[in-house]
Amino acid sequence: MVGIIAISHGPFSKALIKSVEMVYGKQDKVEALSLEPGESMESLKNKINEIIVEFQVNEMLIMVDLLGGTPYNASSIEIENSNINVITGLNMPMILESLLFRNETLENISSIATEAGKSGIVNVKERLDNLNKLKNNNG
Amino acid sequence: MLKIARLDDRLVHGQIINNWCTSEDITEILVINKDAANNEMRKTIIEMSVPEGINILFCDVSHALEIYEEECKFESLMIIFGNPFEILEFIEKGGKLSSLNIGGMSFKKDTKKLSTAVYVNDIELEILKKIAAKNVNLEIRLLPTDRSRNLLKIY
Repeated sequence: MVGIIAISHGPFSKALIKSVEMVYGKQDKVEALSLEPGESMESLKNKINEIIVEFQVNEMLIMVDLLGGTPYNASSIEIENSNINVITGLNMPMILESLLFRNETLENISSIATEAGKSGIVNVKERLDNLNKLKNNNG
Repeated sequence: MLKIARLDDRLVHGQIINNWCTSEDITEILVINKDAANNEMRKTIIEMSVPEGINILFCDVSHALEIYEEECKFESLMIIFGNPFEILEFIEKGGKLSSLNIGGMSFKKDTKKLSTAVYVNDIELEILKKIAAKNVNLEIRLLPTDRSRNLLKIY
């Protein structure tokens, strides 16, 4: 099973996991971490490593809020040395979809999560306009 | 020209990219930090996160002294230091700074809190005072929109 950690600046990730569990129920080996104001990259790295030890999984997918932020910097530094991958742009569709594929390889679940994260973003007005155009053309 | 010199032990991260680089029209970031300059993985991760149009360089103090004036001529430059020690070394070896933005010093054991994101221990504070004594204005300011506070007026 691939373990999942969501990491954000402040409380976003913890609240997000609560929301996810509201939809899908309590999840095994899913954890959220918050980077607090004034917290160092080292401190966050230690927290990540503690969870990796605690989970005892072979592979770990870390989802972080922002490309380039400290959660990204702290988690990505480990990619070369272990069975860890990092995905940026943490969002709810990304986590929900990933939870359905926990027994896939890290590579597969990473692609699935990235796609779900992107396809969950829709400009509804634009999609509606396109749909109406299509209907009018057919009608 | 040198737009801003910043002390931030997290080096390059979201606040810098999203706020400072935009508000100051930065075209190049020069990270002066020996540890990062010697860590290929750390450099690559940061490079991957810097938007197109912003160049990024990593070097130690000696190398920085060789190149920074040239970079200032052609680029809208931001210099980032990871600790006060390398700033003092930079100045003592001839580097010129008129102002230093203190953006972030993470909490560690035995540190004093100067702001929500700035914690320093006694040694670091001494070094900062030495830097101030070289006619460098020390401002504590996390974001461009935050109020600027002079470190020496807090301590």
